Amino acid sequence: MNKPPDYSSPKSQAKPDHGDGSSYRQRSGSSTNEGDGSSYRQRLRSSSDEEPVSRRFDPNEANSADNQLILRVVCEAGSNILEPTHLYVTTLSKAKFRPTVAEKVSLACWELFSNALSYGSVRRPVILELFDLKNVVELRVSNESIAARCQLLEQRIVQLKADAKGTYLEEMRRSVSGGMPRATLGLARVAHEGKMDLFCTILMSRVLVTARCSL
Amino acid sequence: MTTFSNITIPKVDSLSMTIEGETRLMIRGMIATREPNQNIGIYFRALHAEILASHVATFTVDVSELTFVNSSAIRLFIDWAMWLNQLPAAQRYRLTFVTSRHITWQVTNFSALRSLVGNVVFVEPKDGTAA
Repeated sequence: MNKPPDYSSPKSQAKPDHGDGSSYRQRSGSSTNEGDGSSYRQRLRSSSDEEPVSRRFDPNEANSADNQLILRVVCEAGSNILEPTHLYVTTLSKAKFRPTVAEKVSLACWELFSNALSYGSVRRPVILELFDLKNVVELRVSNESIAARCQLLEQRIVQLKADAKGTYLEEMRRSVSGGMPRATLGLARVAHEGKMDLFCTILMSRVLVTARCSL
Repeated sequence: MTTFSNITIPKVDSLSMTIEGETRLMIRGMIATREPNQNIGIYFRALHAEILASHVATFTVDVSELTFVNSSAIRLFIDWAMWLNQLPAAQRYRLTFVTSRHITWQVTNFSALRSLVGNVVFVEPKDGTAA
């Protein structure tokens, strides 16, 4: 039986975890140099060249008045909570953000969470987080997966960052020509239709996809 | 007299579909279900077959109040266009999607669909002219 989603409040769980209570920083520091996080940063690969990846993983981030964790959902891959979670996130976003932003968050929620639930390993949880970072809103979805799938996802996001419209049209063309629908049509929609910035960060076998837009 | 209203409309959470007039399908709400082809897709296919059997010249699908669709649902509209595209020109009917300029997925996706199979699908913004 599937576990119910964890709709944790920001105050009750200020530090993002992996569902097992360990933050990214703590998990990455198992061998050396936990203090300054440098070994942790070396283990990360990010599709974003514009900013240090460590900023997005700062476990103190949710404590800041400007950086508010609005929602965290922790669940198992393959569980049947996509629809209710999407409905909740959509309703919450409509109440909190202006309509165009809410529309983007709703789209990103479905497509990223759907991919994570479909392709994530059942060994580790799927985590969805919604952040209000003062000027931007971020939706972060992480899951465990095999290396090949993580690399494929990373490549797709690099491709989308280079040419969102072209990649989206390629996916649509593929659908029209009778090809099987792929997970990347959803990602392409987030990047092109939603005009959201996508980032992919891989830590060991865990992949984190972040979709971001201005408030 | 067409028999579109005799085709059973599937019950889907957060979605409402109704036949308005004789040749217009109104879709409201959201398509947020993982496998919409298993109910909505089957309904679209039945409608398409009935349109052909009835020799109806035009059919309109009003999605202007359909606020969200997932990428699996995008495929439903692509499939409908492809069913038409595969027919000889003489057998085709005119399929028009009525859209809203204020809903981003409609602007983006129907524009792309038009560019790919524009000869069989028409898009009519509710507050504008047909394309």
